Amino acid sequence: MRAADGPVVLAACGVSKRFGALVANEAVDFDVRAGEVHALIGENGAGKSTLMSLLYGLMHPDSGTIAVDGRAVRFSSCVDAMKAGIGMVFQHFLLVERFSVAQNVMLGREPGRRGMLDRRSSEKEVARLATGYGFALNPATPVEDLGVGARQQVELLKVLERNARVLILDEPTAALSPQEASALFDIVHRLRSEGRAVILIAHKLKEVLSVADRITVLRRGKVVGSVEPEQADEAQLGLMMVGRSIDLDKRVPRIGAPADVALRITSLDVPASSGAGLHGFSLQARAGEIVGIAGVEGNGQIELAEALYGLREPTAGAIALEGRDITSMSCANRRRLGVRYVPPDRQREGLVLDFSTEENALLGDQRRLRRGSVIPAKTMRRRADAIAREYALAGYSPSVKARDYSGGNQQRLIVGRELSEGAALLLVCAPTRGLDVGAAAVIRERLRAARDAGACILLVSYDLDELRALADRIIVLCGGVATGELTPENADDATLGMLMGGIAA
Amino acid sequence: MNSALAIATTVAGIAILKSTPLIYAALGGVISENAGVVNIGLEGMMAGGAFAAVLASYYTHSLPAAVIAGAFVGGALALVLAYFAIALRANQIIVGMALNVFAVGAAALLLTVLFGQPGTSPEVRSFSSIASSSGPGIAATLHYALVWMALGLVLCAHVILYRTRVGLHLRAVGEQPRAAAVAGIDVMKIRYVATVLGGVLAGLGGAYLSVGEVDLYSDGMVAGRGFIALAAVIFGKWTPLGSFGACLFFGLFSSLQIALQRATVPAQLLEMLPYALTIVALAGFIGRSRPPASDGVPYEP
Repeated sequence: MRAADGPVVLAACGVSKRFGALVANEAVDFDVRAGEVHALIGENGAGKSTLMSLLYGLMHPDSGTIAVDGRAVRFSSCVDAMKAGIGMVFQHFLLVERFSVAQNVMLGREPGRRGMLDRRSSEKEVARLATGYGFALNPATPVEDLGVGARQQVELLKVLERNARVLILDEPTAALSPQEASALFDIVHRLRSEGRAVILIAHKLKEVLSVADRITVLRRGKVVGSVEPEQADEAQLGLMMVGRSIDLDKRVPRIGAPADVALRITSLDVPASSGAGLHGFSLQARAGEIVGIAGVEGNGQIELAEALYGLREPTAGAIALEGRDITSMSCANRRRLGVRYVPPDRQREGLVLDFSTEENALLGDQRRLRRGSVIPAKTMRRRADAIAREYALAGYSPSVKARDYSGGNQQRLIVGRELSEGAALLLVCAPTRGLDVGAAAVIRERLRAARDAGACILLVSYDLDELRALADRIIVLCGGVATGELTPENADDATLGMLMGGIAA
Repeated sequence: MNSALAIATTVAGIAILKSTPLIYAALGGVISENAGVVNIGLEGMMAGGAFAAVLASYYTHSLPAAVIAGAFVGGALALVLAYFAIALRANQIIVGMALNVFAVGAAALLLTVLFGQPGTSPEVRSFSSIASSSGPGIAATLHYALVWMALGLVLCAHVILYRTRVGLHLRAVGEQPRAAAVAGIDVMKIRYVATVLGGVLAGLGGAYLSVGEVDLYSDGMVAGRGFIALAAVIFGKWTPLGSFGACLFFGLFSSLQIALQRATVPAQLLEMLPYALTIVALAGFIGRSRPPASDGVPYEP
């Protein structure tokens, strides 16, 4: 039996929350039972985070109540929520990088006498807890040395150490490999069988359908409905989320055959930034083709993209674009040849958050568009207007700061800028990470259009569905080495996962 | 041989005396920066402490009162920094600089108003004056009380930061305040206490300068030591022991400069050397020197 019939442990009853004119939550009813996984889905800005903040005591509802075990409560902070047995794992981990696993887990509750720390008993306690859940964590390792999956386990331990009865997991699989994600879901099932309640905030409908006992959909701050996974499918959930039907992961065949080889990479070595670096990487890609690069984050993908864009100097090998050697050419000169880049971190690398929309729309082409030593205001305005129109930039005005757009609109602005004059070689990293279905659909449609217009596109993505939906072929990187090449049809999770883990398929 | 040894001993002794005020101020910087508050105002807090100590000694003739007054004024100035930087989330560098200008200016003004003589205060009862009036023995020990206290505080700070709960919480607040807050740690309170404590220590360093080394306050007597202390914090990788070592290093050069005054080496060159070496050291010879992750970043709950 799947649906839990344990008692309701945490509930929001008719809660509303407004920020100025924006209604983030309106009369939302939401509850979770002991021994149940309740998924909450919705687009960005649908009010999921607000609802969680209300449940976790980070904010107070304007009206309505939060109830624990059927009794109305008013948390003055998340510390109260934790005392009531509620724990949350944030999407952006809250870990002290330089502290050890044990120090992070026990923070605020360190064992010891008269104010002195007892490191050994704290590490012993964490080791016991970690082993119990099958986590291979050394309590003495500094968190900064851990990968994403392990960091998430540390976050889970923080919550479990407090013996939380309700766990709120905010987009827990966003940065995980398929294996890590399935390991996480095993843990989720384990927590459920222990009688804990789990609230799962998610984007990926497939995951939600396979893990949850109940799915609630939020749209524009209101509950659209709750369904059980047996009675729902992806299309239906998508429709509930967006209000219209979008099949994000459907493959759209390219128009026309790919043309000549545009990009030729020969045994490229690139030194590492934080990940693995790139070793002896070779690739030929054609104009009018999307080459997907799969791999767990930090396995050389970013080094590859940065070397192609000119941000990182290769130590060996050669890069040729349309027959021309660009191995040691500057970024600016590469841009002149039509190399464009959508970086993985849109807020830090893609935009200057405190610049206006029109300034951001110009970045990268400022030298080319100047007249004498000034950039004509009209040129800037026209360019920004065109992007805003074509990409349906919500809340657009030329002077709005990039900071004030939602993540989806920021990404529209970046992609719009990079594609505003067409591209010969487009380097795209995690283009739809964290975006809602609507924004993701726009971005994917544009990438396909750019391909059909003859661009050679290198797509680095951690979302396997995205790779299958967009790429014409998929190359897998592990430890900075290409471990395999697949067609999207052959790229099932198991095969990809093995290649991503460096095990030959 | 004997004379070489004597010279070395003298140089080392002077080095410790010269580094003592730096140790106080640097320790103050280490504590506040580990909690996430950059204290550019160390210079001003030293000046305030130095002046307050002279003032207290002038009116009460009591050395403990002088030292306490120095610590108090340093702490009071730091409280201003704390209020602006923590509660109002102002830019910490700008507030710190403002305090530097304010403290030095206020001391200069009060010199004229209270003593009627701009530039320098009258001579007051000091650690050095009792040492010379009552000969060696107990007085000499007293003279060095502030030096011993500095060394003791270095050890205390090390133990507190790395061996106690409160130290761990303080570092958590300087690294990732949100994680600390979620764990139930009062970020604001820890930042306030650490900043004020830092000011108290800088004030003690100032008191050492005015009633420890000499027996008066004069304009510009801090002479950039607050900034040297800041460099020592970085040089020492934000740790008490590391900064202590860096302060000794700076003190050694001041001492060499005194010892070699009659030598052919220009004094200015020796004076310059520690700073040049700091730049070289910071440029890569001490390895990765990384501030606490949220050092200087206001926390918004």
